Amino acid sequence: MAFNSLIFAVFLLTVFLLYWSLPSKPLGIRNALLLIASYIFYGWWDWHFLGLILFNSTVDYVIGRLLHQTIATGKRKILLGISLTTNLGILGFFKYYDFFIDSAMDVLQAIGLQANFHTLAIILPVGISFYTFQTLSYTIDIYRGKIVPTHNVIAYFAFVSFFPQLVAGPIERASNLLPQFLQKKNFNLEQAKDGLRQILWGLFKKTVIADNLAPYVDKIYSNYEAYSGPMLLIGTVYFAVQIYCDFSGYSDMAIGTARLFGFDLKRNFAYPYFSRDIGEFWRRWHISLSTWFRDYVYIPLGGNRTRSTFQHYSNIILTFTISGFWHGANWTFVIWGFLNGLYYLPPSLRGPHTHQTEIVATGHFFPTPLEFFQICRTFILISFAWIFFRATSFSHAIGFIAHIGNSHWLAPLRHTKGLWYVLLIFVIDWVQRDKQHPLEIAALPRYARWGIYYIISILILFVGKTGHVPFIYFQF
Amino acid sequence: MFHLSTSNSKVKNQDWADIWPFLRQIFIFLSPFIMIGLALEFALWKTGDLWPSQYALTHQQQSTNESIYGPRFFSNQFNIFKLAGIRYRHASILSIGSSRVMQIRDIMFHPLEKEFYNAGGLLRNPFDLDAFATLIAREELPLPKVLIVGIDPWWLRTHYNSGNTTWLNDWDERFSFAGHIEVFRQILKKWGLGEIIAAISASERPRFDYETIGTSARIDGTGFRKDGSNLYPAKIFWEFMDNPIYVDRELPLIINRIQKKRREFSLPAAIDEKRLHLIVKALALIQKKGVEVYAFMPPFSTEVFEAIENSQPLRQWWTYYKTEFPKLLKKHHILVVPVSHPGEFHLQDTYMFDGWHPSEVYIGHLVKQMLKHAPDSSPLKTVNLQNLSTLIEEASIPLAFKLPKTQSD
Repeated sequence: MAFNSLIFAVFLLTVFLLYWSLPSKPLGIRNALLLIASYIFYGWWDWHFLGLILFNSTVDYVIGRLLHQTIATGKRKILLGISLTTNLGILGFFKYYDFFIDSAMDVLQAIGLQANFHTLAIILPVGISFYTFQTLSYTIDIYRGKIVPTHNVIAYFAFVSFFPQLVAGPIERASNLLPQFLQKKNFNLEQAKDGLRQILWGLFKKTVIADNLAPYVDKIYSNYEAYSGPMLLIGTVYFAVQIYCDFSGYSDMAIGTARLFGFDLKRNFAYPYFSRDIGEFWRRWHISLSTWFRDYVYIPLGGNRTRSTFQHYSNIILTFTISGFWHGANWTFVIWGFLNGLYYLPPSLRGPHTHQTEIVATGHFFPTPLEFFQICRTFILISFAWIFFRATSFSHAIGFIAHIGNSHWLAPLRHTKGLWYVLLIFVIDWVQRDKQHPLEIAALPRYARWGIYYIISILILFVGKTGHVPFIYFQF
Repeated sequence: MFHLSTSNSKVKNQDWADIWPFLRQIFIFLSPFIMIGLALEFALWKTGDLWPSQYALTHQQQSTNESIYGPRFFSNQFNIFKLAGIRYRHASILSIGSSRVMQIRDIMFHPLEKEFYNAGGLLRNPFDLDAFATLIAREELPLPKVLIVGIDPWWLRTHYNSGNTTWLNDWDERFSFAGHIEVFRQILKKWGLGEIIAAISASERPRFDYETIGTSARIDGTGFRKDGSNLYPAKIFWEFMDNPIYVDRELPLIINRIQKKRREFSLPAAIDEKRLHLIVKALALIQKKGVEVYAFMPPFSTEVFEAIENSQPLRQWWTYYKTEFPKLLKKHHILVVPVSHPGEFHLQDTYMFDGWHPSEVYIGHLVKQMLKHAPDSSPLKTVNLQNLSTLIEEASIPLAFKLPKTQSD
């Protein structure tokens, strides 16, 4: 049941009406509804994997409680170890088993040994990478003493499986989301309206921009030899915009949906392509994952409080590389992560913009020439790395890059219609870059707001792709 | 603001005091879309385009007169429609293949007209044929006595058309939300409202002397007849009356595809042994069920036929299809109607709608050959050959036995 489907619209309306019809006290009633709805939502894809979510949730709930009751450091470490092993073990089995087997066979063959291990052709459960990280953060935060475990089983299970963000994030921390399940909720009209606006905007980005660029990207990447250098560059830009609109579109719909039920999820994207440096980009792109890796990988490794610059740099590279590997069992993702780690090393690229609320060209419509140069530089670097992310293999990516330089530069351009989509999203995002999302227009008069809603709705109906086009991040 | 001590029902009422206006605003916002959508749905139902394939087929088959099914805004989804047709008609003479066999008609098999059904369009490649044969073997489809299978030359080629057989699991787009949105878009963007208004008025005042279901049928008079055969748009016949010349109506032109080695004629044009095996295996499987199987190799226009003959890169593939393939089939006791062109029957290319779709008159010649050479034990032996000869001889124009009539004729 994807957000961009009619069945989800029916499901959402039903759950919304039921949720607000139920008494707000005791809290468990509404939470139970959300839990059941979330399991239905997830089971719609494949009910077989519901057991996995249930198992993950149970393990971390129990370990969370035990951690809180245990004082001895050794025992606490063992409990944390069990949680890590269980969560990462399941994730590793479903996501990486075949990859490691294939890689091992490749290595053995390279050194002249004949190996014939069996791969299992395992189906990756939707959203496993997201909810695993969410439950992991719960036990780690309890271990660190940052939060106390909840006694409310239903609230905890609903927190893990909360349907708006279950399959592709934002990856929530228990410290932010869990207390919201323990609070009595009143319907907030302004919050709900803004949620609906954000859903509309997310749907627009997904169906109009991302899904219309997708066929061009697919054609260019699958047959790059047939295209000229400039076309491959255009294809690279198309993919950069496609993945942004696809994923941030999903996040917008998730956040908007949660707001209809009175929940505030973390912001996941903050106009990342207007970043002046790589550091700023990573504070604006997939924020919930970046901060997760910062808090649970980079800082435990020592972060920047190391004895040597080398170790600091190693921590950066390692964190980014693991983050790349989190995306998928393919060397292309590892290289993508590694490359972003490399970008992060030079202080000139990492940059001074340490907070995502610092908005480029504040108070001005146009950026300064320097800001413009910085934005372009960051975009080019990020887009280059996306080539590895999109390519099906390392050789595919290298072939693609090599062909940019080798091919005819004067050949006529094709698929240029996609440039309009790129231009459209960049202009809207730029104009609204100081807002949480571009449809944050509550201050406008009603006729202007409704006019905008109608234009967007008509564009979705007339230009947006019909039929089900899966979200890119569902595969992770 | 509420105090925590406020009773539950009061809080709930306060929630709903805000939810109702919220829902009302959503409804008001959506109402123009809902109204336009409902109006279009009504119009589409009125034209017959919205009729689900199964419903349309039943309605058509129950009609006492000739009835043409030709939607325009929604696709005719002929795979679903034809599969439903096979199940409904329980035909003892069944024709199947691509669109190139769609001109085989019931009237050619007098007095067995009611025993015939044309499921042309259902098969696009050997994988489709294999799936069909499996259904027949499992008796999940009514068993015909005679099966005429149109086999196109590109079925034998490597890399042509995928192995995905979709028609078994196809879903009528009338039951899909995306399908409806796509149709609304097409109406408002491509055809305009004028077209749908014309279709509705045509449903009120029929234009042709046969029943029509769907916009294309109502406006242009085109679609599937009750026997599953395809009736081309009336305009084509009328234009032919004014200017009786051969026109290749297929785009891109078939001759250009051959010259430029595009699509069905792309290179390398090599024979795929696996596909050959699959075709023979499928036909043998059907034969095993006691069905008399004819491998029907649909004709080409003389112009196209010669162009393929003279094409060096296509020669090996073409020669195999033309000479070796029939031998292989005969070896497996499968009856063959060989590939031909109008010139072989001393006819002009005016007997073709385009480079590869023969007219019913030309097909009539081929069916006549087939009937003549049918084994003595064949059910086809009861067909009145003289009736078919008369149809051919008295054909109004090379493209049709009879010209379509309008209500005003």
